Amino acid sequence: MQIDAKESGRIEVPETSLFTFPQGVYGFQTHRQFAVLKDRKNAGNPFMWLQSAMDKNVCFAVLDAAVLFQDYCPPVPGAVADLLHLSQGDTPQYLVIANLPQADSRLFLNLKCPVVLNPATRLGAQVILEDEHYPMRYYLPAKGGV
Amino acid sequence: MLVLTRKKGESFFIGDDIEIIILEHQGDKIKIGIDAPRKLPVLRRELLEAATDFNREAAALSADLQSLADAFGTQPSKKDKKF
Repeated sequence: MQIDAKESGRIEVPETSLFTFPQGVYGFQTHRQFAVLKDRKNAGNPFMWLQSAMDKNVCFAVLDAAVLFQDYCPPVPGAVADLLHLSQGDTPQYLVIANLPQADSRLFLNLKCPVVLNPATRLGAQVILEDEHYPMRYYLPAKGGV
Repeated sequence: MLVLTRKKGESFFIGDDIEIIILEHQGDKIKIGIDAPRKLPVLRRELLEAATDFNREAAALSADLQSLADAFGTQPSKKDKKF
């Protein structure tokens, strides 16, 4: 399928990279199909685009949470598990949305509202975790520091 | 808007299978119990608004993926990190 991507323009996207979001994502509920796109210029880049197939300007920079944490696997709310046809024992993929505002040079990740993908059904949904443990702005440690 | 007055311990139904119970009130805080099928999402309004605001701002990101990788690239220990 061909889509218009924010960074790369019109590109061909394999079916396996396309996910249906029956409820869209928060603030963009009418966007029901997203492509997960890797960096075409740098294969080693862990950041990807979650690109709406409907509008090139609806696009989020995301990171597979597994790249950063070995134990980030928050419970998927029952309603979302049903929506994604996730069965018990299935391992969903968690993408976290990044932002790097111009005014602030520190990158942050939204660990509170991950995008949950079921690769088996190619269904996706964004969830809001009620657990206070997960911050909406998780700042990575300062450059060069631990 | 329908307005109901309830006392502590009283409840009401929305449809056949959603029950809202007033558990406790203290000062300006009210504790509410919700008995609903698990397929019905229950979300606090301010959380929903914060998630929406975050997404709108994140969609306006002007950086490209390489700039993000550059900001991220100096991170020590990734895979082993515990959240």
